[in-house]
Amino acid sequence: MISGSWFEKQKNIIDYSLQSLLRRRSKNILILIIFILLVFGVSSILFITGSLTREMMITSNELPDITVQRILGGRQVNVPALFIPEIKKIPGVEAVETRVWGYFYLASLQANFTIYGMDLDLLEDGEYRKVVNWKNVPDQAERNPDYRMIVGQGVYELLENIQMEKRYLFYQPSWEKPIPFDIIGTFKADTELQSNDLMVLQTEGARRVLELPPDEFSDLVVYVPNPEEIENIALKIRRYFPELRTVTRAQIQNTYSSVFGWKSAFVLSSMLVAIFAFLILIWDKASGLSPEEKREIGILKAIGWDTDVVLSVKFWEALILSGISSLAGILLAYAYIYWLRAPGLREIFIGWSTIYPSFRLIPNVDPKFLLLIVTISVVPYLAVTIFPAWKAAITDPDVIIRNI
Amino acid sequence: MVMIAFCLWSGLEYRDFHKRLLEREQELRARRQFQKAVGLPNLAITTAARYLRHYSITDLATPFHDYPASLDHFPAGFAFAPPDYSSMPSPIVFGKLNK
Repeated sequence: MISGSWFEKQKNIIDYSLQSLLRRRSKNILILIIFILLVFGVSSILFITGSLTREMMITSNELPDITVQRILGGRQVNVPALFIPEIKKIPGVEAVETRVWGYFYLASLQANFTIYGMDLDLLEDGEYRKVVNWKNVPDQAERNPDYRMIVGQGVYELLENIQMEKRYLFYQPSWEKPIPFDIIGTFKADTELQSNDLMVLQTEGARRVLELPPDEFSDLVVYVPNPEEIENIALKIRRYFPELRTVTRAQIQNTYSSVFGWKSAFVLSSMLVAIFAFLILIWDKASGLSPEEKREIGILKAIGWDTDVVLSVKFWEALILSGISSLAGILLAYAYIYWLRAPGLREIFIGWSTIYPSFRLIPNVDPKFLLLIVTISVVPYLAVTIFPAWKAAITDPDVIIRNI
Repeated sequence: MVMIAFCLWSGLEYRDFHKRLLEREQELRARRQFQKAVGLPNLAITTAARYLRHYSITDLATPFHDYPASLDHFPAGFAFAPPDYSSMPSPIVFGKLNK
């Protein structure tokens, strides 16, 4: 049986391994299913967290250099205008921009919108124009340019349900009357992951809605042309004005890259569970062969097989089983995350939100991930399958067969 | 049979992967423009609480109320690790810095 070239020999061994796998069909199918589920679980989590991290990182270079907030009593409060000239004086600062933004909770829909105030005329020209699906605005919108807004896709769909997709009335019980805003466009679906819950209002209107007093801003944005200076200027701002807090772009990027790292409870808990499940599977394998398998090895030895051939058979068995299940697990996870958009798993990220994006994520199949999955699945499985087989194979066949 | 099915399946997903990456290239320009126009960080995956929505520029005391990485009562908070506080004077002190 075992003769000819190396390839032929391996072919025959694989043939024998396959038949041996099929002989113990029910047990192997069970191992296969558990193995597939484990690999599927681990790779789904790696895929979804990897994709979300990538989605965040992809646009992070466009973030402002330094965000300056004012902290009072451990809370973020409005920044008065008097800080602006002082920060501008710091050498190396190119510009200080003010931002007006906040949140609006619509109790009837239990929806939390992000309100951002900016000059909408800026969006109307140049490259920015393409970000928005502009709508035909009725003439009356021209009459109050301060009360117009562009909303994200998610907000638009929500407002459509309450027939307010053309004109939305902001209202708080403490106000005398509602403030009507014309919706002049929606952000394109491409930007959905960032713009879904956003209402971009004309700054003056946003001030009214957020009830922001004049000469105060939500936070400041500092632009520093030399990237080497950013850290230093942030430090200066903090030293000169201890009540200000700075968040640099590098810090936000750091946060992005570690957000789904090992410190995240979700990743940690699911990974621990998966690794322990692997360990149990492997422990079961390593604790020894079944008497039947031992006898098979004994008989093979008795009819003249070498130890290394017996080990090859076991090696191929384990490799075929773990290889097929790893591949199937990874493929299933890909289909689950990127084709089905992770039903079940995405709810963890969405939480209790009413507005959430459709989770059409950019695929992030990192060779690093695949290597990690192979290292925690295939390699230990191979090792623990071969070791007991080796122990059986070096024992006298007579002893093994009689022991049954 | 199984082998062929596997090859087909992998091939299909590989093609899909490349197709999506190409599609994304075009989409990306819009997203970068958007990010430039609206400078707010973070993805709109959850809007359950403000410190989850704008997670990297949030208050110091609001998320992870009691200590960094403490469990949060919003389900989505379970999925996030604490943001980068590296620029804070260590340990985190509120009030004036002693120069």
